[in-house]
Amino acid sequence: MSEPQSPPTPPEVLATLEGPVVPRQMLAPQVLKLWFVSAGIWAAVVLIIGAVAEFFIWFNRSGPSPATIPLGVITAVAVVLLGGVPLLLVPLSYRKWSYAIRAKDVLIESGVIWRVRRSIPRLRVQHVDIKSGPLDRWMGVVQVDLHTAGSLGAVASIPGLAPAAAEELREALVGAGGEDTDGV
Amino acid sequence: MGSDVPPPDTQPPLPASPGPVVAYAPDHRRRLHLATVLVAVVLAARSLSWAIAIALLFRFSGRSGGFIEVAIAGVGSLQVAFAAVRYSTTRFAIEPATSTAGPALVIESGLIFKKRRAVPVARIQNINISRDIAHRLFGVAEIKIETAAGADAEANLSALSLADAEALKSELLAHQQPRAAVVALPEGVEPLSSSPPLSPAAQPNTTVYAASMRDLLIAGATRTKIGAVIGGVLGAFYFLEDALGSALNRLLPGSPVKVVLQRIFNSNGSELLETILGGAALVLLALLAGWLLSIGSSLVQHWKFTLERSPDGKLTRRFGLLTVHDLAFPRKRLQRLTITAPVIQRKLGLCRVEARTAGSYLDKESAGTAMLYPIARADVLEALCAHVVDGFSPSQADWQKVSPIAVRRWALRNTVVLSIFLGAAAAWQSWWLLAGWPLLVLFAWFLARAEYRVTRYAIQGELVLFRDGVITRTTRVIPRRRVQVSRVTASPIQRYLGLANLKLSTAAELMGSDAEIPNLPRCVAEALQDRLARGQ
Repeated sequence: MSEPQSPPTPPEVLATLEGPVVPRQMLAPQVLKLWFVSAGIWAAVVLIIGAVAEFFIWFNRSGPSPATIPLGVITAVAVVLLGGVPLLLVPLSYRKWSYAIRAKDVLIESGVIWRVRRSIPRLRVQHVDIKSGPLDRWMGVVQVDLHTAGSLGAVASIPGLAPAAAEELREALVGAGGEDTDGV
Repeated sequence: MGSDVPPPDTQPPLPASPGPVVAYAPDHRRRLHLATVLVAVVLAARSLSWAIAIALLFRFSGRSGGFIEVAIAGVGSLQVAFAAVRYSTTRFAIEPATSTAGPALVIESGLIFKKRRAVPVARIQNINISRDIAHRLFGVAEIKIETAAGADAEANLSALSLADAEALKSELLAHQQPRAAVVALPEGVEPLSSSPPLSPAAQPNTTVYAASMRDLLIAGATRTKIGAVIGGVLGAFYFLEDALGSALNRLLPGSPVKVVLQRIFNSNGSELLETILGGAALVLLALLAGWLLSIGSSLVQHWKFTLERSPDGKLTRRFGLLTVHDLAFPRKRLQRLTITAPVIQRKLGLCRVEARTAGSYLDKESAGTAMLYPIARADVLEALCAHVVDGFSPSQADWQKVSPIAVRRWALRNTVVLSIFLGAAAAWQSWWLLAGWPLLVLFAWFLARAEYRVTRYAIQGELVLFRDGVITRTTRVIPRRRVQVSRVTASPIQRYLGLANLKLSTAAELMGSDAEIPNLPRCVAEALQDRLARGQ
């Protein structure tokens, strides 16, 4: 496949593309802790609901009967899968998660079972949100959400950034829109 | 209702709000046409026609349908009341450019919840004037103004007199055109008269394409709406089984359709031939109905279809028999071009061409998918498409196949899907059907081979081309500057085979209809993704 001759990029567009370039890297170690805590909370919620369900299965008015055994076992297995698997996936997905800010795009690789490699052209970024939930604030980090036109939610988010670094990133990405394009 | 709204000629300023106050001259803001309320009456009657029909059916079958009639009256009068509120409270104006912001269309509305919405003119993607049959009865029109954000039209003014709607449209387009000039000029200063080429009305539009009656007939006749027919019939049976059933029984006791249906659904194998013949007759009937429906809807929907191109690169489409559409969008806002050829059209060397723009996706014909050529001969396709997008020439593109290993994944997927169907059929009819499983695997493999043969992609200058479809052939053309996000994804099976999909999302795709080039070798997918990102 031959490289096609693309029309020359106007100089003003090139000028807006200069910005900090961050090499490919993993997320901050706080994110691992953060994900463990939120997966743990989820597992606890599942466990409580499961325990209540088991209680009603075994200790109802008619008492335990052979017919309730499969139901009880299925519930127990479901609780272990629903609560335990996300907890087990946390270290794997942390290891598989990486991001890079390149000259012309933001590249994010993620996913344990389904691998996804996302590229968001810097010129197409419409707005950038910095947000921090209670757990983020406890860890002293923030999350950066990138929005482009035509998508309802954020197309990509980078968690676990220091507030100052997030601010810098936002400035770099939001400043990228040239007059050449209206972002759509 | 609306008693708190004073007559229009003694319009007081807006209720004091803490925001920036815009001083309007009394005659500055415009209102809707009085026919808004009358249009609402017709629209309410039309949208309730199904309910009215059901109520009548109940009457004829001798049952009480009183609650339906009450509901009809309630819903209908609510619709009309809302229209009256809209008429009495809506005011709109084009607010001139200030030092910090460009001109904006400002619309105020609402009786209880006052709403003031400003749509920056520079952000407007589409302006669509449509005239429903209700609008045409009263000589008015509806104007929809869309930006790239959100699901629905940003501003929907219904109804204006046709002249007012056209005037608003050309005013907005004129504001949009010499954008730099409008922003730079202080308020009240007339633009220099030495720039006539900037005015969009100065030069006439060229008609790119006008569909003849024959075109539309062919477009309809080479497609089928059998899905709509089956859905409609099943839906009617589901909802109206009792009422329809008793009426049918009285009219045609032991009608042939009913007998055939009973044979098919309660078949015990003894009358196999009759069952098969009856089933075939039903399928033929459905096909014929779908065919006629397709011809009819093609004529009604795209009646007098014309596509015009203005000197400044704006595409305008006019079409429709009942609802007359008049839609304009700038060429550079095109997000994707889709060329579709269902099997019959493909064999005849025909196809249809649709565009996607970054407007609302809920209202299909107003923006999400815009028909450009209802029917086009494949040999003049390139010439036609040259009016819409530059540098597209499918015959000269460097078409690449996907990875040959893709056949294995497709074969596996086809086998799984078909096996589920076979299993269901076997459980329903006879377990002997499972004996045909090896045949099914063979078929799945052949299908996968065919998919591999037709699936191609190419990069042509600034465009990404992607083609697929064994039966309905689809070619998608995406300007690579319009790509908002690109994703390379790999499922576990794909990772095992070393494959990945490349998915390109533009601003037009909100509902997951992205163009996806499947089953590339993973390194090729990633290299292509990086190359597209660098090309911007």
